[in-house]
Amino acid sequence: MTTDIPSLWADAEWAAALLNLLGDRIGGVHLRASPGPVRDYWLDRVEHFSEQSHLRKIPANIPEARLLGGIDLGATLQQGKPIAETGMLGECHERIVIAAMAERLPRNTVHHLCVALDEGQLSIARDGIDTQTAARITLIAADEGTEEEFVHSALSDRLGITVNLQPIGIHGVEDDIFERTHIERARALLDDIDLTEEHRVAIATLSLTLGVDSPRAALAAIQVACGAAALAGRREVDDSDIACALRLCLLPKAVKLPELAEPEPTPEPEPENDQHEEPEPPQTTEQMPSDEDRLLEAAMAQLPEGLLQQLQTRAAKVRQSSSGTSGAQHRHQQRGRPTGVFRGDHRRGGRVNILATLRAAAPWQPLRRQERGDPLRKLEIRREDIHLTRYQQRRESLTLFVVDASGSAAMQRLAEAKGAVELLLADCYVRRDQVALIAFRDERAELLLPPTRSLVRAKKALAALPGGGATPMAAALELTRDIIERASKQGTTTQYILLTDGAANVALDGTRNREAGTRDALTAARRLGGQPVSGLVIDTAQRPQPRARDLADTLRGTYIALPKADARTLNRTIRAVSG
Amino acid sequence: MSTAYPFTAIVGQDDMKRALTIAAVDPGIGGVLVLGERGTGKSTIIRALAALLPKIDIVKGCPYQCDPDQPRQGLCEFCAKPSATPITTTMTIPVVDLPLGSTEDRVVGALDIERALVNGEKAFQPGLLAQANRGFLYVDEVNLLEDHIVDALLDVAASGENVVEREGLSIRHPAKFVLVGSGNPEEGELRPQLQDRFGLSVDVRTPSDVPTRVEIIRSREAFDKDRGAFRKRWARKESTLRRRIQRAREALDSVDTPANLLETAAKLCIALGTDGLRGELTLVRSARALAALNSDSTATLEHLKTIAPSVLRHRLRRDPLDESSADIRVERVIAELFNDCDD
Repeated sequence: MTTDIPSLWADAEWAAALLNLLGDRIGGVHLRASPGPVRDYWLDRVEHFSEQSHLRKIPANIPEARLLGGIDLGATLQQGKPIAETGMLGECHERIVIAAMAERLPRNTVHHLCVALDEGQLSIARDGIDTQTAARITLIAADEGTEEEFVHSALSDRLGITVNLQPIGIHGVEDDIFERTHIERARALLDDIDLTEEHRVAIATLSLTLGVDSPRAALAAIQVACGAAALAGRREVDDSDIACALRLCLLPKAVKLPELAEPEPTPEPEPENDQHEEPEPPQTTEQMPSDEDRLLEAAMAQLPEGLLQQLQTRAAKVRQSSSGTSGAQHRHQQRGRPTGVFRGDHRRGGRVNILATLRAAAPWQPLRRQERGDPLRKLEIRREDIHLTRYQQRRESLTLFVVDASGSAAMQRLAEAKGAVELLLADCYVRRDQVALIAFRDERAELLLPPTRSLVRAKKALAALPGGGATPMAAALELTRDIIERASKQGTTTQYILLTDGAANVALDGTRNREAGTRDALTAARRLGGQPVSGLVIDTAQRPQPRARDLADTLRGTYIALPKADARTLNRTIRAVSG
Repeated sequence: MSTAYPFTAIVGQDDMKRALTIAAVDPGIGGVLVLGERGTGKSTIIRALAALLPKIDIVKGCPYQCDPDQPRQGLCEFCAKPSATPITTTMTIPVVDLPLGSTEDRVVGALDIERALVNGEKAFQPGLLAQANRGFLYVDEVNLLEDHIVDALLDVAASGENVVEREGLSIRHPAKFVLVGSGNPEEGELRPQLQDRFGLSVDVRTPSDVPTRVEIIRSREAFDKDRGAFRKRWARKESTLRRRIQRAREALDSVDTPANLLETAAKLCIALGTDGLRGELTLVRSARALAALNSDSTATLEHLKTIAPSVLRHRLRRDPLDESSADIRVERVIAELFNDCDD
């Protein structure tokens, strides 16, 4: 095995070549990169390797009708019968296509991309059309996501290779390695390449060791290992190909990193993470033959410096939030999900639904023709026929729990707060509200649960909530404001519920100081109080003191003292106040 | 159409396979809900089922695939016409996809616009519900389905007929189908009304032992390499299972149901506090279907025990936060009850 450490760019170049070589066998590439020259150059490389003149791009806000295809308005009106139009996925059959801003794709778009990747075809049943379209695509999901936003896991799971260009600066771009002829040559070899059983077992074991549950990743890794051998002009897969597959496919998806023989110079994982981390099944470590150990170590040794740390923080984040920004749906008069059709006046705004309009007009045509005495006229549509599509306009609402988990709030109170939150969650479920949870203790406030409608996730986040330490109130309020602002940009109304005893003792800069802590907390509270949201402060102190009431006043929120409240009383009160 | 992965070649996932075959034997069971994480093969298995199902007799030309042995009993206009004697033909039991983003007109059916405009006739263009009659209706990511489509489904799934009153049409047609829904529970809950409609529910997980995973990977690789050859290799097993389902469908009516089975089913439901009678009925029906599938002439407690978790898991009185323990509760009650019976 070579001991050369491939650079990040070299890996990216390999990925571009492998993407063209393997295409829909690996689904595609999850491309993590900010827009800029490095990303543009990488996409140029992909385009260069492919036979496509240019890579088509699916915009994040593409309407469903355009993505899947539907009715061709012009032709339909002209011919008086429904004429289908191919959607973008159908047009991109057997091509490489880019999904722009993949971290912000609406959930429905994600679903359709997943179906296209799985089946290579789509069934369409909309607007009077019922058909199948071939849509065998290879997808590049261009993810510009910051730390809070992720490509939906259903999609990233189907993309075999992950390329991260984030750490590469413009000077990190190196000389090209491959030419198109290399790929042609590799293609000729590819079908003859087979994996030895040891290598197959190695990949299966490694994916388990890394906590990559979905078999799709392992299958893609096998393809990539074969592809790497083909690109290197070999008929046998060797250890370096497995290492390449590990770097491109498995490690980026890792949710846990195994202990290696030499300890890694990484920071100690925070103790709270250990609590809910599932213990590694013992047999994997015992049974893991030295072969896998060796391979994994080799692959790890090939990792560029700093990448491991990056992987580790990312792994921790993925654990926290595994399902992307599915809540990011825009509500708009003419956008969003169509939820039905109604008769209406198009001049008052709204989108005309041609098909429903034609249907409404159709039965009257013979009569109208007679009435006019004009038998040649094909179609007569009157105002009363006009139907509009109704879009989902219901405003989403979010209940944000801000829970003080510090030592002063005392463990027993924390348990009660948890109980109250659980009961409130059940309420939110009935109303189909979203919930989110911020917890604050010690140095920082943390969004433990990003807005979600899933109770399973909410419950997991809550169970993992640790207690003890100082009270960084200011940081918590700043984070609350941040979440509220983000939610309101997406048209979501938020109400927050702050459970605390009001004793702030950590300043915004992280220093422990009661005075600075209180001062910063009040400043933050004033800023949050300026937001048009309803807030509720629940004083969880054993003996209520003015400080929590002051805080509530500054927040312009409702204050309730519940010195002895149990979870059920809390819940009743909150319900009474928030209506 | 891409070639489907053979049903019998799917590694593990016995619960899911059993639930689907039972639903194929007795469509009256009321559908199968499949919940699980990514990459557990939820949609693979349903595509596989479509390729496995036996053929049924249908009335030729009928848009709702009516059964020729039960003529004019259905609601279908086509078959109710007194004029012609129905001609019998066969088709594979349909598995119809209800894709996310489907519009209501395509799901329930609507006025045939072309015929209306060209000939001035008021004709009905049947939708997906019509295509799914006597077969399966599959909704992937069922928890993300738009509310107005769910509403349409709920009513039809309960009544077995689709009533269309729109655009001057007034149509009733049979729409008895096995609703199969799949989804990832981490992405949002299912509406309780919809959840109730499912007769059986299964939780699927990715297996976490190395040998099973290697086997999954190996067979999937072989399939991807040469789909035709892979299917051929499994053809014998596929047709054995197909015949087994076919035979079980025929034998279903003659399976004996002893009184103690009914009693135990009732006790189980009372002990678990499930609402309504649907749980009991489904328990008995599923036990019978399983007996038929195993070529047993009598439905026994053993059948009941095997199928009970799938039938009852999603029917426990909902503590929306206590999802994980449903299985444990069912198992505990079964254990208690069956120990009593042995005494």
